[in-house]
Parts: sequence; structure tokens; C-alpha cells
Amino acid sequence: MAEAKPASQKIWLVSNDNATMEVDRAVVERSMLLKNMLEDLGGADVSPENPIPIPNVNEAVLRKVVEWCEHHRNDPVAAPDDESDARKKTTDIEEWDQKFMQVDQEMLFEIILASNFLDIKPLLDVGCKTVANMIKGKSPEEIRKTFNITNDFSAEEEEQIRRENEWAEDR
Amino acid sequence: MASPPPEPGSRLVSDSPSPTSASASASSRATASEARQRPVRTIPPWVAIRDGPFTEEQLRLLNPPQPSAAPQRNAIPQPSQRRMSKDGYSWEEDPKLGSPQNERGRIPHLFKYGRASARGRKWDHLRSAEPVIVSAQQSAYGQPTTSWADFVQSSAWGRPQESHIIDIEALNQLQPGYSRPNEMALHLPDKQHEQRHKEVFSNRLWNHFMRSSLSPLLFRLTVIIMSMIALGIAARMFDLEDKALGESAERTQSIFAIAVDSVAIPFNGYMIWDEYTGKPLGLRSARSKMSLILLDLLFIIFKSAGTALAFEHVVYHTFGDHIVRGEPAEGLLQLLPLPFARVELHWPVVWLASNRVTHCPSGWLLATPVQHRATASTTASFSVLTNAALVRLFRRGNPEPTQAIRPLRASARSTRSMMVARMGMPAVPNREDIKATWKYLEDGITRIMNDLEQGMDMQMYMGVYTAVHNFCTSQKAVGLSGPTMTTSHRGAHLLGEDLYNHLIKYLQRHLADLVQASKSHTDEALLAYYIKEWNRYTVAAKYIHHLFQYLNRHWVKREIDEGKKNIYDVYTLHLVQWRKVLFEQVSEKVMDAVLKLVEKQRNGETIEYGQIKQVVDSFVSLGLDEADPSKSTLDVYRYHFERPFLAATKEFYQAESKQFVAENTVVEYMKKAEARLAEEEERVNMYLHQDIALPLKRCCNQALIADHSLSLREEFQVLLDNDREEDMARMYNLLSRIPDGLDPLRTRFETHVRKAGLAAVQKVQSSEGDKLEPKVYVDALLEIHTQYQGLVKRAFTDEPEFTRSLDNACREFVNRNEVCKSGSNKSPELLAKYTDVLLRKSTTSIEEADLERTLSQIMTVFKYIEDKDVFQKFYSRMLARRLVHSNSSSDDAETSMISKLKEACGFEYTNKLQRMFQDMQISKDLNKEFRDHLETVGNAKAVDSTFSILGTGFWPLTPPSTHFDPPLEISAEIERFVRFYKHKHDGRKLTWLWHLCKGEIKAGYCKNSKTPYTFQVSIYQMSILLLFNEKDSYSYDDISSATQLSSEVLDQALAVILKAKVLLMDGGDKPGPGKTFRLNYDFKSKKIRVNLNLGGVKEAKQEEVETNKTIEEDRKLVLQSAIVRIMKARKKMKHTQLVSETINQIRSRFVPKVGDIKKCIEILLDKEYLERLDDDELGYLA
Repeated sequence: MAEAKPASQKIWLVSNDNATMEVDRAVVERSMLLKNMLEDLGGADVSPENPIPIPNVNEAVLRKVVEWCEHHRNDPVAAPDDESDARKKTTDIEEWDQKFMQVDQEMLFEIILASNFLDIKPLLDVGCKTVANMIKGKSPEEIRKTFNITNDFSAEEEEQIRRENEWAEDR
Repeated sequence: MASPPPEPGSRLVSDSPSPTSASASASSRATASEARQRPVRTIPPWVAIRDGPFTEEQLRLLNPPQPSAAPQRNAIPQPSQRRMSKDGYSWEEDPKLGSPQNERGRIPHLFKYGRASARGRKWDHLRSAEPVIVSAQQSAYGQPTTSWADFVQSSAWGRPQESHIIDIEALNQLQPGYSRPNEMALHLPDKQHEQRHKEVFSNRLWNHFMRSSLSPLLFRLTVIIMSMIALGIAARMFDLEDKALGESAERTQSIFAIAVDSVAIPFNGYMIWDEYTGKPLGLRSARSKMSLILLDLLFIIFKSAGTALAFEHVVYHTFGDHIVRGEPAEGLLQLLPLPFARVELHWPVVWLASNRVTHCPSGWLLATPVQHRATASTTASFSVLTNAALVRLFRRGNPEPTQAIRPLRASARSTRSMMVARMGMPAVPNREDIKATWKYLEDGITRIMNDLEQGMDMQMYMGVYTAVHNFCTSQKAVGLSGPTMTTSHRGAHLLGEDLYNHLIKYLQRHLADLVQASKSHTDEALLAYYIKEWNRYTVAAKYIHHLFQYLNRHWVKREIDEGKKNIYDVYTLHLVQWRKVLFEQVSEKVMDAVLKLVEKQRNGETIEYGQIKQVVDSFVSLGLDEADPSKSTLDVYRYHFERPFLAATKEFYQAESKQFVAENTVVEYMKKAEARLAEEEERVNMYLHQDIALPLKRCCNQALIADHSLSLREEFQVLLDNDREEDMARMYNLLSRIPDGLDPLRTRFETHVRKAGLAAVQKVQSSEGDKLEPKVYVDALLEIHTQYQGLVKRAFTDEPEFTRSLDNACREFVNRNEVCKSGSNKSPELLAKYTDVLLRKSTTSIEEADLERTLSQIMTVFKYIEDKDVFQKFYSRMLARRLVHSNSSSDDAETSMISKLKEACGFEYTNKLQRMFQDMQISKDLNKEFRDHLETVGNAKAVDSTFSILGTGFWPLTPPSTHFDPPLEISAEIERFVRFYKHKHDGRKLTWLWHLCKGEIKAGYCKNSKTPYTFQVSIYQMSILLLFNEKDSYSYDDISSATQLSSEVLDQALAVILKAKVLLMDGGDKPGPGKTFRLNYDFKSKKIRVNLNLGGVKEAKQEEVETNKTIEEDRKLVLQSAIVRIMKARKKMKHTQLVSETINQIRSRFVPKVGDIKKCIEILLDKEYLERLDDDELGYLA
């Protein structure tokens, strides 16, 4: 809002399991939710005693998300209408992000959910691409294995689906 | 995460083989897994089917069709041997299946296309752009997919929201009191913080304690210690009682306690040993588990019995009679039962707790750790509380335990909900419950709507956002909408419609309240109210927009993308609702208030226009483009603000101007109107939207000017007559604002100028009579022109249309005035004469600068003259005279005049004039050469002579009509010159213009004067006078025969000489035949130089008439040449076209009459330049 705020202003976040952490404001503002909130409320009264609660995220995940934001703090903000196909279609993930996403599946879920909750679009994209890459080039069986999915189709149903989607299979 | 961590067991991969991996033959499969190969159930699963074993045939039929393609191995893809699609299309024949294509080949063409005619086309008619969604994909195992379901549902990303930074002033305006320090304590007092920390700490401690492996030991040890204490006390009591009471019934409780405790202590010891060394409870046999638990329970029961006895002892035995005995042990006996009872009470409770702690983590008794924890904590707190309650019960004698027991602090609640609860907000509700969620949200929204000045804290902000998020991603709701999902076209159903509708309802309610409240306000108060509520509402809308961002991003975006109408993002929704509910009802009243305020200002009062500006802004932002909600239009503003505003403005000004005109003069009114218009323009800049500027101007112009244009125009004549330049300028300014406002003014102006010009000319004419001085006339014309041109310049800002009107009027009065009545040639003639006067050498010569200026003025008049050829004629004639007589005042002035004419009329017009100058220059050089030539030849010069060679075509001169023999002296000189010239330019004919020749004679005969007189004479006079060198007297006839002059010329020449008395005539006035002339020796004159070469008035008049005559002749020639030129270019032309074309070409020189043109055409036809063709056409003959 109106008052000049240095980018180095500190913000304190508290996860739903009561872990408090200190983050720069610029980093926090990667999340549209927190950005809007800080703009709406001014954010002057955030202090270690009065941190911002993040109700849907636990400490481990929040740390992970903050780590990502920290690394991407200087990324340019995507233009509002930059829904370019190129960005959407490519499954390329930059190297740092790839390393960052080398976590167990549970954590991957949580990161994606948290980024969706916190409205951090680039992170959500990275998460989704990671999952997409996990699926890419795998047979249904392998996919099931990867994600621990029980096959609940009956044989008939499965055959039917297979037939209907035959056109999509590459031979 | 709100969802509990999934059990690892449910994540196990199902090990049943999936159909894809089944590649064995059908028969072997049937035997191998008969259980799986049951027919598909069509009856619900809870109905048991007891059909018994299935036949092979049945099972074979039920098998899925054999896969046509070999199963895909990721490692080595095997090419299939025969390519065939599922719908039976095969590239080549299969021996087993035969050839289905051939079958189809026999089917008529019509049917063939019903089926697939190419591989893989069968399902095209069912296929859409979307991938197929399988309806039965409801997972049996909730956990693994549900985590994804959240994500899948929210994968659509909403339109990014823009926010921008405004400066502090704007913020203060939007949110009054924002910068004031917040009065509500946002920071909770420190005490509360500490308390919270304590809670958190105790929670952690408790968790730690409960899960610690040492805690069972702790409990057991406590039990042992308690038992020991109880044993000790019981033993002491038994001892005392034994002494005091002997074999009394009272002793039973202490005996009982001793018995139980003494067994319990070793038992507990055993239990501790067993717990830390033995197998975990869950791995033991049921019997041993049961016996352990039952033993524990048994001891608890016994202990409870002991406790009951102890209490009974405390309550019912007052020991009143024992005190009488006065024994010291009695006091102790009185004191002991109470601690004993307490210890006894603690004992079973702690035991119970230890039992729980020991047995439960294995999940033997309780299902979930959460519940377990809750129970444990309840037990623990119960023990503490009963203790406290007990103490109170006995200390105060208050028998009501309910009051003593405070409500349990809900330690089971999560810290998050506690934090929210602390701030006066209920905990984030159950994510699946729309009612609870909405209730929660409503509280938040109401707070934002009504008490935003109070501030809002982060907890609430987060709470609301989370509630929206949780609701939108909730599982159960997905389950509810599950059935519809199967039919739904889209893969994921996004929740949010309920929230959206609730929000709409809430807004409608809220706005309806505002409408109700607005009814108590009127006028300015209403305005203030409207602005206040609007500002509050929009700020709140922004907040809510952000809080409902999740809804925006997913549900709303999806709806809009699917093309649903009337779904807006949350902020826009606020505006739409405002417009729908509040605006519709209130806008008119608000507008009334605005208009009243504006009227006040128009009446000269000071108003606070910031309010109006805000209202305008509010109206503008309510304009939403139906086609594209992200854009805004001005429609609402135009309809609700501009329209009434303009109407009111018009009404106001109509009334005001009517009244003002009735009371004041038009001039005053103009001043007023001008001020009003400036005021309105200022108003637009001050607080109105720029969009209104044009319509408002138009409206004011209509009301203030157009409606009164008639009276204004009436006034114009008066102003013109009185020469009120300033007022005219004002009127011009006003009327130029309305369309066609100035045209009547121009007409009036033109008429007025014409009248003024004509009047001026008439005045000159009447005062001067026939002897009209060219100067006076031209000055009169110029004066009028200058006056009105000044007016046009100053009052009408040199507007081209007015300049044209002025030109028209000038042309009119220059060419058709009183003076020109006799003939239209009078104006150019007078103008040319005036020019001549200016350029001729004269005594009253003017300064060069003045001369230049005057010439420019002459050119302005010249521009208006229609008959420019007349001017040319006269001018060239006069120029010729000036040149021949070399009495032009300055060459510079002459050339400047000619260049001006050239500028105005082109090269052709001044061609001849320029040639005249050239001739004079050439002659000068020629004379010099001639003189040099004479010197080289060595001829003594008898006569000092100068010759001018004038080109025949260029000079408006005609050879003399009379015959003439030059005197001898001169003829000799002429002879010499002609020889010289012929030598220089062969083949040229020289014609002598005697009447233009002149010379000087010295007269040495006079007696009266010592210095000889010099006579300036024409060549005729010279030849006469030279005769008198011979003798003193000649008769008329002698002279006539000697000079060969015609009598007219001779008479004229003689008359001047006689008048000057150089010669004397005998008798009579007029020279004529028979008269004799003598030389006058007594000639006297004041001057030494005597000018005898006077043309006289008659000559001038004659010349004028001659010129006029030649003009007519020349015009005919010009017309004819023009016609021939046109025809030469066009070859064929209609008569009327030719006439108009000719007029066009000639107009720059004079205005031809149609009759003249027709005459000229006739002449050309006669001369056979043209021929008549059919259809009134004329042709050109080469």
C-alpha cells in the first residue's frame, strides 16, 4: 500500500504445527495470497509474536515452499496474459527446480497443494510438470505402480476403455 | 494438512493380475483363476448368488475378447503380426476370422458408410475434443486418489488479478481514518500471549509425556508409592483405632486397605517387570492379555471399594465421643482419614491411567491416536479436577460439584482453531458443510463490510481464505456431486456455486439494508451517505475479492470460460449487485442531490465539489461491458448521470437566459453568456468526467446561443452601424459555437460593406462632380476596404469566410458604383491614372517608402477590379508616355509595380510592359554605339541626337497620321542613323513616330536678353521655327508646303508658338491659309527655358476615347483567341460548354458578356476556324 516498504522487510509465518519462520517480504510476495494480504492489511504489524498463520500447510512443506520462493525471489512476475502455449506445453524444468522436486511423493503432493493454496503459480507449474514427467512414457501398469493406485477396473471395463482409446496409442 | 496421514497399509499395490498382463489362452485362464471369472454382477452385491460352479462354456463366453495387439512391453515393442483394429478392419485376410471386408463388399453402398470404412474411424461419431472420461472411475480406495483429487479439481488456474499501488491521499480518501492509529488492540496483551505459549508448551509436554516409554513406569511407580503411603496410613490408623476403639466396626476400612495395598505393591512390581521385559501386549495370546487386564481391573475394583470405605469414614464418623477422652492420639485419628481418603482416591485413578497408557498405544482398545490422546487427557484432567472439586467440597462445605467443575478446556482442539477463536472468530468450520462454512464466512464478510475501520487481523483474513479454499476443495461435496459427474461433460466439477450464490444473497441483503437506511437522508446528506457507503463498499469489495480469490481462480474462471453469462469475478459481482440493488433505487435521488448542488454553484454559492466528483467516479465504475466483463463502458454513466445533468443544465440556462434577456440588453447578455460558457468548461475540468465535455458544450450552446441567435443577429446590425468592434468580436465568438451561426452574420456584413462602399463613392462623386480626381476616388475605396478588413481581422479573427464576404462586397462596390454607371471601365481607368500620377515625375514627389505602400494599396483595389484588361490598356499607354518622355519618377518603382502586376495576373499580362522597359534599355546602348561610331568616322556632330527603337507589337503607339518632311539638319542626322542601324540589323523597317519627337532650340536673335533663350519644342514646331533662319516672315502656305504637315497638326503647332509670342501673326485669332507670320525680335520671358511642346487637354481626351475604342477591339480578339485555343485542345464541343469554358479562361482579365462570345463564335465560323456539327456541337477546323 501507500507506505514505502523495503524489500528486506521481515515477515513471520507460522505453519499449522506452530513452527514460526522468518522470511523476507520479497520472498513472501511470491505468493499472491500473502501479497494481497500484506497489501490489504499493510503488514506493518507482523512480528515474531504475531506471525501470519498458514492454516493449510505444515512446517516441513512450508519450509520447502519458502526455499523455492527464496531461490526464485528475483524472477520476473509473469505478465497477466502470458498464458503462452509454449510455457504450458513444455515439460522442461530448469535444473534447480528438478533438484528441488526430488522429494518423496507425499511431499510432492503437499508442495503442489500448498502452492495451490498459497497461489504461487510458477511453483504449481513446476510441481505439475514434475508429476507429468513421472507419468510420461509409462504404461498404465507402471503408472499405477508409481502412484500406488489399485486397479479397480474389471476386465471388461478395462477392455472397453482400451478399445475406445485405441486411436491414441502409438504403435 | 487437514486430512489425516493415510495408513500405509492402504497403499499396497494390488497383486491381482490386471487384464493387460493376461496373455495366456482363454482356457488356461479360466481354470487358473476361476474365482475371478465370475459373470458380471447385475444384481447388487449384497444378494448372494448361489448358482454353483460355472460351465466352461459360460466362462469362455464371459472372457474378454482376445486382445488383437500383443501387450505392450516397454522394453521391446513387438510389431504385431497382423494389423487389425477393434472394429474388425483388417489389412489382410485372416485364416481364422475369414474376410469381413469381403462380406462388407457385398453390402450396398448406402450401408457401407454406416460402418467404419477405414481403420480406427469407428468411434469418430462419439469422439469429441476431450479425452474420454470413464464414468466408473470412482475409486474404491479413498486415500491415494483423494490427495490428487484436490489437485485435479483445482488445476484450472484463474485469471491473475491485478492490484496497483495508490498514493496515501487516495487511500485516505477511500478509507477515511485509515492512517489514524488503530484503537482496537490488534496486539493482544502480553498476558494472553504468555497464556497461549503456556498452552502450547503444556500441550507439547503432554504429548511427549504420553508417548514416552517411561510414562507407564512413572504411573506404576506412582501407584506403588501411593499404595505404600496408603498402607502406612492404614497401618497407623489401624494401630490408633485398635487402641482407641478396640474391636470396632470402624476398623474394617483400615484392615481392608492394608490387605489390598499389601497385595497391590508386589503386583505392580511384577507388572513393571512384565511390561519392560515381556512381549508387546499385542503379540501375546488373548488369554494372557485378558488376564492381565482383568487383574488390573480387579485391583482397581478392590481399591475403589477401599476408597468408598475411606470416604464413608470421613463423612459419617465425626469422632465426637473420642475427643472426650482427651488422648493425644485422638487428634491424629481425626486428621488422618482425610489424606487417606485422598490417597485412596488417587490410587485407582492413577492405576486406571497407567492401564490406559500401557495398553492403548498398540491399538488394542482404542481406534485412533487422536481419540486415545483425548481419552488420556480427559482422564488426567479428570483426576486433577476431581481433586480440586473434592477439596472445595470439604473446605467450603459447598455440596454442588457441578458448579465447581469448570468447562473443560478443549485441549483436543488444534492450536489453529484456538488462535482463531482467540480473535473472536469461530474456528474454521468443517470444510464440507456449506451451512457452517457460510456462517463463518458471513461473519467475516460482515466484519469487512461494516467495521473495516476497526481493522482486520491476519488470522481472520487467513481464516476466511482458508474456509473458501477448503470448501472449494472439499471431498464430501465431490462425493455428493459424484453422480452428476458421470453425466457431466467436464472431467472435474468445481465447487463454488453455493458460495457464489450465498455471496449474492448476502450482498443483496446488505444492499437492501443500505437502501433502507438511505431513505432517511436527503439532498446533501444523501450524497454524503452515498459516497461514504460507496467507498466503504468498494474497499470491502476489494478485500472480499482477494479473500475469494480461490473461487475466482477456479470456479468463476471455469464458468466464464464455458461462456456462462452473468458470472463475474467477485469484485465485479459486487459492482453488479450494487447497480442492481442499490443503484436502481437510489441513483435518481442521488442525481437530484447532485443537480441541486450544481444549481447552487451556478447560483454563485460555494459547494464542495469533491462529492460530485466522487459520485461521478462511482457512476463511471459501475459501467460494465456485458460482452467482456473485464472492460468497462460509460453506458451507465451516460444514462444515469449525463442525461439528467444535461437536461437540468439546459433547463437552467433556458430559464436564466430568458429572464436575463428580458431584463438586459443583448450586449450585456453576450457578456453573461460568455462568462457562463467559460464557467461550464471550468466545471468539466473541476469535477466532471471528460466525456461530458462535448455534449455539455453543445447543450449550453443550444440553450445560451442558438435559442437566442435571432436576437443576437438583430443586434449585429446595430453593432455594425455603431462600429462596436469588441462586442462584434464577442458575438462572433458566441455564434461561431453553433452550427450555421455565422452565415447570417456574413450576409449582413457583406451587405453592410457594400452599402458603405457605395455610399462613400457617391459622396466623392457628388462633391467632385465630373472632374473626379483619381486619387480621391481610389482613396475612398481604400478607406472602406481598410476599415472593414481591420474589423474582420480584429473581431472575426481573420476567418476565411468573412474575408470572402468582404471580398465580395468590395468587388461589388469597386466595379458597380455611382462613378461606373456610365461604363464599367471607369474604375480601372481611374486606378491606372492614379498610378500614373504617382509614378510620374512631379513637383510633389513622395518618399520611396510611401510610394511603395501606396502601390500596395493600389494592388488591393486592383484585385477587386473585374476588367483588368482595361487597366492594362491604360497603364501601358501611360507607361509608354512616361518612358518616351522619360519622366518616370524612378525605375525601381516602375519595376516594383510591374512585378506586383505580374504576381497578380501572371506573365502574359505584364509581358508587353516588360518589353517596353527592355526596348528603352536597348536604345540607350544603341545610342552609345552610334555616338562611338560617329567619332570613329570623324563626322563633326551637327545635332546632338538620341534615338529610341520601340518594338512595333509591344508599344501602344500608332504612326502619325500626317505627312512630314523633316528639316535638313535633322534629316541628315536621321540619314546617318538609319545607315548605322541598317548596317547593324539588316532587314528591319524603321517607322518614324514624328509626333513623339522633340528637341531644343537656342534662339540667339533676341534683343532684350543677353543669354539666349532655349525653346523646348516638338519636331513639328522645330521645323517651323527653323524656317525663320532664312527670313523673318512666311505665309501659312509657305510653311505648309515646306513642312508638308497637315493643316490640323500645323495649326496646333503654330497655336502654341503664337501664344508664346515667339512668332507674330497678322490679324485674326486662328492660324489658317492666307495668314503671315513674323519672327518676334522683342520676345520676352521670365524663364530662359521656354516649353513650347504642350499637347493640351484635347489630345489627352482624344487618347482616352481611342483607348476605350481599342479595348473593345482587343477584347474581341482576346475572346476569339481563347475560343480557338479551347477548340484546338478539345476538337469538338457543345456550344454552351464552349461559352462557359471561355468565360472561365477570360475571367482573370475581364468579365466577358455572353453575347460578345456568341458574336465571336459567329466570326470564327465565318472565317472557317470552326464548323457546325450535329446536335449543337462545334468542331475545330485545322
